[in-house]
Amino acid sequence: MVNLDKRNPVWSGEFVRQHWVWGCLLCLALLGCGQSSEQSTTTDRASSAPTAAEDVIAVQSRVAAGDVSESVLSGPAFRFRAEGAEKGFDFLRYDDAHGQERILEVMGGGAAAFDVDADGWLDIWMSNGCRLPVAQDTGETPGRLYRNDRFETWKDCSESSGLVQTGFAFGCAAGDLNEDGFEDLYIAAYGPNQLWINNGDGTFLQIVGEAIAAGQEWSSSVAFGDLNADQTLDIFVGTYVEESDTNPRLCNVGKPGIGAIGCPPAHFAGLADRLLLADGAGGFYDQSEQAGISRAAGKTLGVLIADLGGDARPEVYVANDGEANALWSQSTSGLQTEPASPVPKVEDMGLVSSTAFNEQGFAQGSMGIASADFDRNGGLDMFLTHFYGESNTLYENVSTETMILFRDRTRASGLGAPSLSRVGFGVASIDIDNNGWVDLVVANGHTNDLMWTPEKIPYRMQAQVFRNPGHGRFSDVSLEAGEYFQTPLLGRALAEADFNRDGRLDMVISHQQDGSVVLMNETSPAGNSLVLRLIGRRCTRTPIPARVTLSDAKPIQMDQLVGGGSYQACSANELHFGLGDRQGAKLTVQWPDGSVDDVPKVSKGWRILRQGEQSCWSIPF
Amino acid sequence: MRFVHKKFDRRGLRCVCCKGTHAPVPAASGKVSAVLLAAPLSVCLLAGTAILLRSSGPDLPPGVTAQAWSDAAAASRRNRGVPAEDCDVLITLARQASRAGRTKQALDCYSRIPPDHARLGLQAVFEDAVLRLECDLAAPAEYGFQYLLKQHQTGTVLSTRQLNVARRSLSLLYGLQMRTEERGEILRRLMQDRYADLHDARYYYFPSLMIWQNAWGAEKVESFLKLDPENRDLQNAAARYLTGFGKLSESRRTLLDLVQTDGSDLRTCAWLLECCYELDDWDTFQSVVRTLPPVTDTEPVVLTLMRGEWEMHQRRWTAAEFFFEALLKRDAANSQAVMGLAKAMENLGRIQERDQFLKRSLIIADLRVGLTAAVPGQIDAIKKVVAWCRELQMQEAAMTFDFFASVESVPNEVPNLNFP
Repeated sequence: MVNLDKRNPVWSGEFVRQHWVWGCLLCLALLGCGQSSEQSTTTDRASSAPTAAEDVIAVQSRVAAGDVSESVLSGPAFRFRAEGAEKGFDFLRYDDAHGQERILEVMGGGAAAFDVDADGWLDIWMSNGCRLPVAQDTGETPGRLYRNDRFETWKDCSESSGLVQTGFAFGCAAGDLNEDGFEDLYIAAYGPNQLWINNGDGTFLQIVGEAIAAGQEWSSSVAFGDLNADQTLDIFVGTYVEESDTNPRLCNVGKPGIGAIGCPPAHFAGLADRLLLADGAGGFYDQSEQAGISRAAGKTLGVLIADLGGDARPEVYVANDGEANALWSQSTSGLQTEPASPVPKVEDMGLVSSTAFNEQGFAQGSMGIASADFDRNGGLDMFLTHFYGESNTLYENVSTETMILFRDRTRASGLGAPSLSRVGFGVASIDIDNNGWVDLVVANGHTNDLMWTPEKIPYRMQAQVFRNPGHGRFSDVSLEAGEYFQTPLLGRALAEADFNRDGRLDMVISHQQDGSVVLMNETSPAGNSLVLRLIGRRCTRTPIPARVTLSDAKPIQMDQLVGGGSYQACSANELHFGLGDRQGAKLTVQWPDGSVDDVPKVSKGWRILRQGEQSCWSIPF
Repeated sequence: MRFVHKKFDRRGLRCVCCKGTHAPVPAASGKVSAVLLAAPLSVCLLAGTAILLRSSGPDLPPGVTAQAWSDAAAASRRNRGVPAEDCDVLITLARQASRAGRTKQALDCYSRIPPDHARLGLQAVFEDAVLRLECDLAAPAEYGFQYLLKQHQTGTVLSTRQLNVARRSLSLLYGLQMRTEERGEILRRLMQDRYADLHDARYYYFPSLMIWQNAWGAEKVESFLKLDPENRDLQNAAARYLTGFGKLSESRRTLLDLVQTDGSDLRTCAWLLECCYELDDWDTFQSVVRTLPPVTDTEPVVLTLMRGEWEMHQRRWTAAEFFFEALLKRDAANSQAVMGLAKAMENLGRIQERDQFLKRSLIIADLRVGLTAAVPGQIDAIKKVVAWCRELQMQEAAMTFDFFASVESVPNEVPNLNFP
């Protein structure tokens, strides 16, 4: 007779009957020991499944467990302070949210930091949604324009400016499209996009046109750049997915009280992005098909225009949600095979440049893009934010003269693990303490409230800030960075700018369901900084992309004036360099038209540099 | 003076002190004496009867009274129409206890039924395993289900339900513990016998594309581990979940401890290497990889993958190619291996092959996302998976998903305790 009791003698009645006295004594003895070890085990392992309630505890546990790679700060503690309605910045985005979490209403809005009145103080424009369907919009929730009144207050100039964005808007881009010295605004929306030309007197005028509207699709992020070297700024419009605002696609997930909610992006078809080339007379024409980008239907959320190959030609990097990212380049494998043409012929170098996927070959959420030379090797690196359960990705630029190439350095950077339990959107690459090494800030927040599921995935999430100590491994210093970073929110667009002109870069962050904030950088002590506003004269006035190298810095410091970046956001068209203790720098500027200027000495502070000049103008603040 | 009989033998009939030679009690106190004599005698008689009955009756499980036993016997007789054997009574008691939430009693009753009992042995093993799984007793549940499958393989007839539940339960257990290779074997048998559903097919053909880092799985393994803290498979799994949630330092510590206790456990080695890889800790990685035995086609897939990554790190492209190709033979849609091969080919100057692998990686990336939409009822999404499988030369997978696209999937059968 097979005795299955041998499997588990504890359950054998005979065993207990024979040894019950000793068994009782032993159990009593073990109970006292086992209780505490079980509790500690439970506590340790409980933090392995973070929930909203345990989120901060989980982060603290990670610090205690040593998962945060450097708990000892190598520099001053980063400090940020959020400002909002008390200073007049009282924006609360409207997304027509009614609990169904339709995909249209969960993606959030955009933010632009630009100088509306050319007074040197950076202003803010925030995109807004409306009641759905869009055709029924009554204009009650337009976008808002806030003028920076020497940073004493934010003045809502929406009505007086005439910049009244209606409809359901997402991302935006600012730049001097008509070369008159004032930055204009292009707005991506569900439905027709909008172009607002800055009249220079505090007012805007909307320019309409078929190409400008870029169809009736869902446009997400936008970027400006001179893509065909004709010294006019062109527009690259990222488009997301096919979705109906009258009959939204819902998936029945059994959410209590609601049932069906918006389907995830995998259920939608992607859309081809659009390339609008400037015609030189103030208009634009859609050359998507001629350029070759219309053959690829992706799900674009982030767009970046920059010189990624180091050959003075712009590339367009497109972050696609759940699909291969694209790197549109004019030259084959970086080789200049033909001169710039009126309509650039591009090919997707994403796969061969190793930027289509992460190193495991996974397509990821791909929402926001930050660009900077994080390792100061002269190449523009990229950092992408992704979805829950995916780590954000750091791509190190290792391009050669003949090839655009990147390498996934997420693991070595320490940026992967802290992002697994986050959904990252807007992202800023800024030198927070001006020590010359560019740090990172990420705005987080889920798209769906999944707290009702067994997994209890957090909905609102804390933003994160990562210090770059300079040796390649970032450290998560969010816990010490101020109250804002301890507050769970639904973070979306993030634009960077030095709003109070104190030499430290600040940010504006758009939230859903909570008021948006201006996040002031109060890190102290902070090093010296050089803030450059570049003005093209032979190339586009807003010279995108322009490359500036601090040639006397060791190691080298380089940055580019890029188009797009972050998520549905437009950062100030300025370059910010942390100088540490240095009082100035020697610059080399490569303009979009290929010309190069050497500026032997530039002092710290706010400077304007015009193309062809050997010295800078200072901005009096 | 009178003596009172003090000690009686077991049968209560004879005083053991005097062997019955004491003089009887005087007549004057006869009534009292009679009472005094009769009472202990009665007690003795009753006790003796009880002992007799007990010694000749069934060995009752703890908590089961003779009345309960007899009620169960009666119930069994009513159900079957024939007198109940002990095993009939035990299984009836077990089911009653299980329904009432008396788990220990239920398991005790099941354990008393010999598994080779012609009629009830396997059913008892089955019900016992299901109950143990419900109670988070992972290892005994696994043992029970494996026992059933072994019996099935040697020709013993199991009911369809028993077989399916056993397989699905093992698939669940192995899945929670990320024992991919063992789960693959179970799924293969499900596929062969045509009892697999769409969910099974996704995990069978694309194990590395499915998300394993989920909080529910981690919590379940924790629950298992609480009751069986020395179980190595569970310890391994718990550590790997730490890696999956980004707790890399803690995971590395745990896995290093496990390797020290048993360095021959290849799964521990695999997950430690994976953790070191995520940490970019090549020193520890090297110290482990040097202790590995030669590669086999039965070792954990992650181990083979890490061997390939090690060669890549050492810039030994041909060696990396060997390991990644070996891995793809077992997991054709492993995107990390495909990307590794693309990089290796590029470094070897074999650009055309690089491009082929890059093209393959594109398809796998689409497939990975597309699989999330390929659920029962979503015919278009399933057909897309078919097309991707064909592009990847995974013909069997294509046929399988094509089948699912044309029929409604049978829902997963989950274990329950609604036994007759």
